[in-house]
Amino acid sequence: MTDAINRTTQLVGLLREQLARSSGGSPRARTVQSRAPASDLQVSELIALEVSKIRRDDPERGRKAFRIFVDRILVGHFGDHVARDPSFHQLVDDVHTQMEGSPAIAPLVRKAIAHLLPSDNEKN
Amino acid sequence: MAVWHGPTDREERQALWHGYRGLQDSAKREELIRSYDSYARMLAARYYAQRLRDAIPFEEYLQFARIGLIEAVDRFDPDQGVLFETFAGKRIKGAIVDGIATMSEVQQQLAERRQRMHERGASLADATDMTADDGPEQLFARLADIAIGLAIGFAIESDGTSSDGQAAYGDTTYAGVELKQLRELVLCAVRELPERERHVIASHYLQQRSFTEVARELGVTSGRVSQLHREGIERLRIRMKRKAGLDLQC
Repeated sequence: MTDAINRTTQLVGLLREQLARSSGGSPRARTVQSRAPASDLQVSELIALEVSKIRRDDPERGRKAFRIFVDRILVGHFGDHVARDPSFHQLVDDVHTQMEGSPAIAPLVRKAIAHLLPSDNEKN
Repeated sequence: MAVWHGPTDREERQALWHGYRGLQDSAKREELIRSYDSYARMLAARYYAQRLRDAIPFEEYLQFARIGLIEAVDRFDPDQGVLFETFAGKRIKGAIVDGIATMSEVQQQLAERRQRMHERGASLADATDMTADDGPEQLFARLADIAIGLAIGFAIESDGTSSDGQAAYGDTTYAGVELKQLRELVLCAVRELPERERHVIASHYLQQRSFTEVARELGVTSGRVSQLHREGIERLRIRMKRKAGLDLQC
């Protein structure tokens, strides 16, 4: 279990680097990339890229950013092929909805959105 | 409270019945239904006033009353010498009682499902290794684990068979090939869980039982069932890491 958590933690670290790089640049990003496993790097890059594509004036920006995170985490865990299943989007929706609706999980989701969209918080 | 004033123009209504029964005129049928709508509303209000719980709004009672009214209009024979209100009253009452009973049952099932969802959410979020001071890495790692754990739960729950091969329920929400394979792999992994974890996972996801019910059966606390659930899901999460689609052997 520790390995799994470490792996996810590493992935998330990469994600943060990617997000920082896409919103202004982090001098450490290239160094981190060179040490990272290709698959984790791909997941973090995809999340960062997709989050950066969300319009700044989109009222659902936070929800969409977190949904991207859920989507990519599930694909990263179960494998790319699951995303080919048309029902996969329903599964992502169910997980996302459950996380937002759970009193125990929702506060964590809100914190995560603040990290995924740091530039939004700086403006407020 | 709606008040039924009775037919305002009996002759006009007789003509409507004649036109509808004799000519099967759909416009007259609609007119008849409209003309008795206040009667249906009055009965709906009467049964709503006798309600035991507030969970179902008046609009639902009215909807069921109107269904009963439409059935009554379609079946009523004015030549039998019975007042339409007498004939329709029984059908409208039946439609309201049946409709509310079904709705109450569905609401009960939805409430139970919400309860189970809250239980599993709290169980997966209840990470003793996380504190308020933890940084974003720990936060995202925990959320990733929770998301994967919930996805595994949905995959188990949507399967049509239980882990011991007995029919559970036929939800085919995730009916695509890739997710079907994922379900098969998860169910294989469930069978390999330690006995108590397997029992909790199977009871909760395949038999739709709450942690409280499972706790009563096992003679332990709900907290202990929540812990067994979390441990079982974590074990499944690790087993399922990038395995799906690569190896269908159990």
